[in-house]
Amino acid sequence: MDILFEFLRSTGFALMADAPEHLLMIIIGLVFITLGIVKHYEPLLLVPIGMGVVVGNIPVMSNMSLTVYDSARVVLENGEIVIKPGSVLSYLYFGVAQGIFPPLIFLGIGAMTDFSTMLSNPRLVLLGAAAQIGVFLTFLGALWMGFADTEAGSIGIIGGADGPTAIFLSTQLAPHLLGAIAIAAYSYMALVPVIQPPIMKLLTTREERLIRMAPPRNVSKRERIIFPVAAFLICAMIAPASLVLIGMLFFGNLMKECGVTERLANTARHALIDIVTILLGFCVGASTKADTFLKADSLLIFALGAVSFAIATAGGVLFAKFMNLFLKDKINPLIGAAGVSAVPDSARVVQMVGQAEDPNNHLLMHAMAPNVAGVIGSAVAAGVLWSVLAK
Amino acid sequence: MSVLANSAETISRFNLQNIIDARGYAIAITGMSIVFVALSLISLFLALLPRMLRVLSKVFPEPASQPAAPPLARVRAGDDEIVAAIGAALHRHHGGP
Repeated sequence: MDILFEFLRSTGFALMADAPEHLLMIIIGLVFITLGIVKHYEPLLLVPIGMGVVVGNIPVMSNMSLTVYDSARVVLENGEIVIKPGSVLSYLYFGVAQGIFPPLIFLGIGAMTDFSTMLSNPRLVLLGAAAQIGVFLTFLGALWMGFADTEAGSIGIIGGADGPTAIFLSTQLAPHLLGAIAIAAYSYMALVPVIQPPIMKLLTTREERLIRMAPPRNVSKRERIIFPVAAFLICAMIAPASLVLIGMLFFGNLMKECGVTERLANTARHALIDIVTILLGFCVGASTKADTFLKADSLLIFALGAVSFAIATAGGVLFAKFMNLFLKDKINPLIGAAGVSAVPDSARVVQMVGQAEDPNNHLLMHAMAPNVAGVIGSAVAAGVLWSVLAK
Repeated sequence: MSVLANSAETISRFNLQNIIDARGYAIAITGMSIVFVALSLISLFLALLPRMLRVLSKVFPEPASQPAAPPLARVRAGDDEIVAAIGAALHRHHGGP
């Protein structure tokens, strides 16, 4: 009978009574899963993250090694040094905590990205830079709100709309905010089709939205092979801290374009990126703990993330309009919104908004150029913030 | 709940002086400039690349490569009907035997 009572005390029900906030987190997890399945908002991310949140927030006895935070440790027992192994989840979480998974995701993104529209119209690269204004203005906003500089840097990068980069930077600068930042970054990536269109319509006239752009020229194989190597050298020489992310991105792209490593590129863009996405999403979800997550700071991070994303969109659109003042072949300013690096979602949104005005205007291809430039831009921005703020 | 408990305290720390103390403006302006310089250099390089390749191809001519078929032109499984229809149309057009 005693054993039964002891067991009952260790169940989730009994522990939940002491810490009801866990229940709220589990509901948040279930909302994520539902949004992914019913609304199809980035299901590949929200379903793993949602399930992770549910798994990570079941209350457990503190002496049982179960959560992502129960990592291996060295203890002194009876005068002897003993190594206590960590929980299973802590070993999976290692890839998140040490920033290993994000570069692997970048490898896969590189191996699936076709840079040829960017190569055929190099000036569109600048739109990817302009959208990074969201990162730096949010950095200032976060400082104003009283976050420490390292925290502010990690929060700002949410405006890059680039989940892996945001996770990478916050593991380096502000590990304690990782859960909130990762969830915010991925939520806004899922909300691209909701957040961007109103801003794009607000900042452009109907005539501008109707602008048609010349079809991209054919890009030679040599150009496509030389590009990843040269672009890596340029970025890594300017901002060496970005070399892990940028290096993996362009390595993946080189494997895709060189024509002799198709097998490797195939693994990187299918099997590898899928495995890492599963582990990353699940572990990030499982790392959200009610006591660290349900705080005013997390709400501020979500608010800043939304503002950051809106500013980034506006920055890209306005810069495209600015460029049009000097250009003979006008750019459709809608594609500036694709300067945020949510690939390829924001390019799809551009296509959608463009076609709402003119069903025969195909902007998708053109929008992919600032979109992939945005990935490079936010990785460089992350590198700069890391090297300036790392202590 | 903890959210409500510390929200007043959180709002009280909002202050523009924080940005100055952390050299925020300098970091933001420098950061944005570095991003622009990096991407402008990439843009410039890409603009010059076709010209450089034209010179290069005089020294090392590019092996004659057959242009890759656009993916849409490739026949997919399940498109048999379309192929059959195109075949029939061509047949009629050319007035074959």
